Amino acid sequence: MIRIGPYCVVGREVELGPDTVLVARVTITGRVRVGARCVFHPTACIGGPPQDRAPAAPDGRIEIGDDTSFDEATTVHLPKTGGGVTRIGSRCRFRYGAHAGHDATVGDGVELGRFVALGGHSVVEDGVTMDDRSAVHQFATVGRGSRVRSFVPVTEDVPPWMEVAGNHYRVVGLAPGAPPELEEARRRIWNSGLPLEEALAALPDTPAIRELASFLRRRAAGRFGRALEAARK
Amino acid sequence: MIGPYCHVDPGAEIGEGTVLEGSVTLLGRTRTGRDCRIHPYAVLRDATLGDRTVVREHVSITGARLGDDVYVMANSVVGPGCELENHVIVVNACVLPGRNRIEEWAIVSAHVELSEGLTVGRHAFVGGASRITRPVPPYVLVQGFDGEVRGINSVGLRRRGFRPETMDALREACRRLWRLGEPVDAVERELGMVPEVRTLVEFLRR
Repeated sequence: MIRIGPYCVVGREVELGPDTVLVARVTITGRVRVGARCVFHPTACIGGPPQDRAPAAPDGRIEIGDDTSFDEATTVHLPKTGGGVTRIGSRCRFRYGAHAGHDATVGDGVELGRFVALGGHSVVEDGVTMDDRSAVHQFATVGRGSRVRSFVPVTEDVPPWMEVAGNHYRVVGLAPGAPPELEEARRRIWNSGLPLEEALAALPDTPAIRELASFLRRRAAGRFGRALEAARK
Repeated sequence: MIGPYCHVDPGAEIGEGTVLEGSVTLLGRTRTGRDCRIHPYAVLRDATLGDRTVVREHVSITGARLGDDVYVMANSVVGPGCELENHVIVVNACVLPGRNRIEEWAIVSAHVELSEGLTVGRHAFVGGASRITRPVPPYVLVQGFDGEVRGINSVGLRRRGFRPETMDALREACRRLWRLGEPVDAVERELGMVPEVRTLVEFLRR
């Protein structure tokens, strides 16, 4: 059963899945589809227009998976691109004040800490943990399983399964649960001082290392350390 | 237009064409100009807004003046005595604690925290997650925990149609002031005929 508490605002084009709960004082407007068993806490606000001078794309929409929860003061914005989707996966948790900007893509099982801000068109892949007050630049990608520590402004793509820290972020280790063979790869890529291709050459050929290598090559082919910039005019 | 669950105190005034999206709270002597847009859960107390200014979700503004075409993004806090001039942008979750003057066209990026009473000069750009404890001069880009000047705000200046000669003069002034550590007087003597450099020099003397 869907539960909607007092003082909520739910727009005409909003679809809520079974057993989703709007605790109280929640606002969901615009074209939004929410899956099953999601929870929205008071003052969560989904479906505002992009934070941009241009208006929202008339046919843009927000899709939210199952079992995702939004704490207080969280925001998700509609896309700016025509026919675009701001997509939030399943089993995610948005903590107090977390924000997904227009056209952002968030995978499954992502944890966003307090006040985490995802810029427009940014991508956060499955299983990422972002600690409090970290942020992702427009068009940046945070790779699968990685962990971003508190206060880090992610201006360049974060490689899968890596843990990053610092004001100009550095790879400081492997994220919890990373495939152990990546430790050797991490040391060769970030500690050896070798150029990327030379560092990659001597590594064993496993799926995790192939994934890491192709991520880093895509990042190098982009601009400003962001693979998605390559597709931007 | 006033959406559902808004609260507007009797002393508040709303300009023509302004939209309160819903769940907005306007307290005390708050005044908005024309065609402003205020998003859900924003709370404005004794604030003055110019025309076409946008206040996004969960923003708190107390006792501050905002000019025309200002954009304050989600979760930011603007404290008492702040003045945001025309075309200023404040990105998500910034803290402007009080008596901060943000001059026209300046951009304060996400998660920036300013000390109380600091000024950000016109057309300056404050990079994301910076902690700012010194005034930010006009036309420059600052970034980081030390709020260090990294150069001029070239992207912003180009977008707003500044001439390449002006940008070159500002770039040279920046290089001398912050890379070579030359005194303000010397920079003024050689580049002071460019009005923007003069503005920069006058800011540094204040």
